[in-house]
Amino acid sequence: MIGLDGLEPTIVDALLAEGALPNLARLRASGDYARVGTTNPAQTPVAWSTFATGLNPGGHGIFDFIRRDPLTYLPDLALNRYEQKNAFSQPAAVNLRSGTPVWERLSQAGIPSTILRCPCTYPAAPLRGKLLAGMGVPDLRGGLGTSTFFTTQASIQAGEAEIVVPLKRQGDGSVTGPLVGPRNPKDRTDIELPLVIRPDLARGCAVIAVQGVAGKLEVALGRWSDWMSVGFKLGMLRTARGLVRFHLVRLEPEVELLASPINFDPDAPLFPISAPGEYVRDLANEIGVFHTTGMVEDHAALSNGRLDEAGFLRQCEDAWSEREAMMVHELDRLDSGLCYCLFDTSDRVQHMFWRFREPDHPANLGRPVPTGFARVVADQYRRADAVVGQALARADDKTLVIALSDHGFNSFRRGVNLNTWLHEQGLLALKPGVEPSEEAGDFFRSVDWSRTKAYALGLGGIYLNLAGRERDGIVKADDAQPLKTQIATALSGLPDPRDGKTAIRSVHPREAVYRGPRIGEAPDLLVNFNSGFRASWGTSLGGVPAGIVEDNVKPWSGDHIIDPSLVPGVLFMNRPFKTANPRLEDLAPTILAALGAEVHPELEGSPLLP
Amino acid sequence: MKIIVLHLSVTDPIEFLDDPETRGVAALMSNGPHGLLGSHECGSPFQILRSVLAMSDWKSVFSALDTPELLDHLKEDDSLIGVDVAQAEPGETLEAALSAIDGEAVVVALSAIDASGNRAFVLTTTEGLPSIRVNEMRANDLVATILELAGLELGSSPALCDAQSFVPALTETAGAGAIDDEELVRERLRGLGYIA
Repeated sequence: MIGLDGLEPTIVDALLAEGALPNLARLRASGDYARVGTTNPAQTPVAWSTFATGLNPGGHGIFDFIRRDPLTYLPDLALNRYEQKNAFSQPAAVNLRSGTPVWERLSQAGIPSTILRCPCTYPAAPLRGKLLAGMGVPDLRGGLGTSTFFTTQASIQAGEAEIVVPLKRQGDGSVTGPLVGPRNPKDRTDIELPLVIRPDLARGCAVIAVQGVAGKLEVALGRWSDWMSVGFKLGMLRTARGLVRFHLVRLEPEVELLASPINFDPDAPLFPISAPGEYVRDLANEIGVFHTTGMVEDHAALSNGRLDEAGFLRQCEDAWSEREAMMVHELDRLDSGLCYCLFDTSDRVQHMFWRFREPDHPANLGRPVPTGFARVVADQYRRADAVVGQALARADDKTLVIALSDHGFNSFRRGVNLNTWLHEQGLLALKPGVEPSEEAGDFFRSVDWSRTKAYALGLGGIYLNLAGRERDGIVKADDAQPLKTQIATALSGLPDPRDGKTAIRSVHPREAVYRGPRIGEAPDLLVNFNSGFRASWGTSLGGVPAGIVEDNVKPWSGDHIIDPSLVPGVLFMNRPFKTANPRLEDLAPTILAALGAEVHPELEGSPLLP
Repeated sequence: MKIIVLHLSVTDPIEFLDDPETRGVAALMSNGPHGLLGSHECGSPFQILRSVLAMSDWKSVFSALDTPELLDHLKEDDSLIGVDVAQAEPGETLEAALSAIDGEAVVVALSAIDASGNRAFVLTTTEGLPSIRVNEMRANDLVATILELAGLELGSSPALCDAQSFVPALTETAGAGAIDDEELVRERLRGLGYIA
């Protein structure tokens, strides 16, 4: 089972027609190929959780990357959380996805699985076989990836998801600054290790040393270094071990260096990232050290201009290569059972390089558009095809080979400020004197909850400010349904004021989309955007910017969180299958049936093999 | 989870806490509550713990151990280890124990007693505790605190009598320095890329 994140059917079809995807063509020729219905919303953790459990989001409880606490209105990550028995006990990571994943059902049937990097598998839970957790695994600071930019240039402000460290020039020609590690659990201050960079202008490289680390790393200009193992003392009784690598951005006139997010060290991860626990260490010993964070590709460094496109793509190739090495290593050892490996670099590259496919994309305004990058998205599909070839080379005639993308892809040209629209409708109130603007802030800082009936958070969800549920809820239970109908009716078909194009195709109450025990955690309304549109950047964290629709000018120029019917995934198998409207829910039953395990009635899909 | 209780015999509990030369103790004190321990009819912390845990399935080792024996137990046992430190240099034992448990979830308590029965204590965990002087804690309160820090139910052992855990008070002390939750949330989410 090869997961190819975000492969868009229209691009697949075009490349198949060109003969550019020979291995996927082989799969199609020996079996079938179809578009596969994705989840609402069409988001990676939501979709792969449905794949894994065979349940709709109402069953597995992952509705978005972001959830909200109705008692604080604060957003937080929806994939996992940390719990402590008391303020001083070690926190335990808790996976917020419920439902029984297919590998657990196989375990119950005595069938082994190897699961590599499936989203929402952190912390790793025991199974019969091996599992390396994917999206959701944090870096050493607890985020999903915070890189550090070192510079001798003064007054550089931090951009997205990064720390900026000013470097000091020393008399011996070196430059120094702290490598920022995790927060001290006691006082939340940053724990730092002194770092020394010795630039070598003649050789176009630099040598990096970190206090307490044996040995030094040499890194060439424009390249990524090897990994460095670092340890941060969290207290007198505890050290957090991590791995970091460096990208030398510039040597003169300023020295600039990018440090990757600090990954958990496979030898001593702070939290369980594999099952059994020693699997990640053993795998690293066998194939070499690899990234352990759930999201490898440093899109923020590209957005912030710390990495150029070439540097980003080098990191992406590293991600492809290490994932391919994992898959090949495990396939070579596979006797029977399920082997799943997710390749998600294709998703990240499409997010960041979509603008090169569209010269008039708003993200290109005022930004260089080198012509060589127009082929990069297609290159990812060829890379995916090569991975499928590796799997096919290891499959005998008894092996079922599946290649699946969780959703397609589309352009992200315009962002819809849902909270601003709600404000305009009189459904979201701001504090006196505050108007929709950047100054209104995020996290609903300027919202007057005593006069607010609805608010948007995440990537397309609207919540009612419901009495008895939200801390300051004012919408009575009897008024909820009419209010939902009012919002859905008014927002469906919303035109872009600039050119009249439909920005929002439809809005649905959650009851029309989901069923299952977790439905109460879903947004009350789900917004289905049209092609080219998405929830705006400000909406996602509770901002109320000016204007209803705005250009997306960020390098993150492609996306898929739109009407799911516009972004189906692709499904290839080396055996004929029922190609009429397959859905992600059908994959778990298909795998169980293929391996002779019971297809439990709780599963919502059906086996696709005849 | 391990609970490590080191039972020391000292000349003067006050000097024990204030003597910067006692290796490891000062560092431990900077990572947790410490002070003089009030007497209690139920016995010493060591005795109370032994009594409480005798009725549980918690594997425990209570004995006089030299340093190598202690280190063996720390490696092998996922349990409570109570040690009578008979050596002249308790700091050495403490240092060896602390270096052997790096990263593991532990609660460490020192109980120091003089010939007259006057006691001092120092308490910490892997995550660290507020470094505060506490002089109103009794032996059974210390045990209740240890058990709660280890995530164990207090149960109804008569040995605990009317014990009061100090975890709520420590939590209140620690909460004063907490940083803005929004900043943490923002950092946690921004790596996603999908949000502003």
